[in-house]
Amino acid sequence: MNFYEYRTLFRVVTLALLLIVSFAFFTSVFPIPETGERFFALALLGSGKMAENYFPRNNSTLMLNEEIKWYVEVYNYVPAIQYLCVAIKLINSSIAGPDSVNCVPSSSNYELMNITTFLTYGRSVMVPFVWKLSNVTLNGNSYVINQIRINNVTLPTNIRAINGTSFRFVFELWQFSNTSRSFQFAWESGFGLRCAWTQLLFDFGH
Amino acid sequence: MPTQAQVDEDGAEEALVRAESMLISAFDSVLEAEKMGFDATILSEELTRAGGHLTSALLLFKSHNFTLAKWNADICYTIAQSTKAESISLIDYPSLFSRFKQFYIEILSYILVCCAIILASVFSWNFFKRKYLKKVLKMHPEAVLT
Repeated sequence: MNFYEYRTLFRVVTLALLLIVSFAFFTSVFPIPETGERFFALALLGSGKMAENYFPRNNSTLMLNEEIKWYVEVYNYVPAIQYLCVAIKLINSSIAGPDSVNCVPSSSNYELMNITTFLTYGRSVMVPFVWKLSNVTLNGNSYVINQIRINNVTLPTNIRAINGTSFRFVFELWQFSNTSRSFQFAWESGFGLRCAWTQLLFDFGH
Repeated sequence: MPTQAQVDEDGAEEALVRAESMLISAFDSVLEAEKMGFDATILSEELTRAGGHLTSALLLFKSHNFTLAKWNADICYTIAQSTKAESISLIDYPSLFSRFKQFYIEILSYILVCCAIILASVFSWNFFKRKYLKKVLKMHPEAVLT
């Protein structure tokens, strides 16, 4: 290496150091804005907090007072704190479920409870959902769920299904909108309207 | 657990509305604090705790257990109220002033670090140059660097 090459090396090293310090400073003071999709995720997990073992004996035909333990998990990937609510509904196969294409929720008449949570960006929450059918009666050829026990609270219901088949729990994610000052089922993702919901079917054993 | 007398449906409903309204108000304050650059993680956990009581209150209300529903709604209200106060205290004048101070300290530190790098580079170059020239001249005294 000659003298001039050494001089160039010194200049390059100095410039590189200045660039590293400048990059670190500007990214800490002026964070790079998020440009990706803004979304929430909703998951329903089984008793082992995995996407399996939703029902005892892996059989979705339930008996009276058979306890089921699920977990409702919600993620926030919208870059701000969010006020979220999971509406839990019990319906049968003849009642319309949510519409993912147009982001229309199912009827609020069948809402049993809701889970309220607040999440900052990148955070998630997992809430246990323990339930059992505590009062079911036969009416003609339909079974009617009169009472359901959720998280140690007994709730009155009046949902029926022919032969006790295809009852379903629907879980819908609702977001509190700061502009409308109310909960809405769909959110603006930056790539169009999005909504999140899931469901699990079960039968009543007889 | 509640020790008060039985609560009627209206009393429980009133407590629920009050709690829900306070929760929204606390959420607004936390959102404001987050926009100002404060980390809202702990405050959001407090709000979730309040929300958990609201969930229980609504569930108990539906099961006609109005006393317990009101009790949970009141706890929700208290937690939300204190979270709101905490977030307001974050965005008050002294804390904002301290954040501006911190911002200027960061800029000053950046300028100082840049100056230090440039000075260190100049001094080390001059030191290296002297050594280098001394070495070259010792080897070839007749050589003169142009």
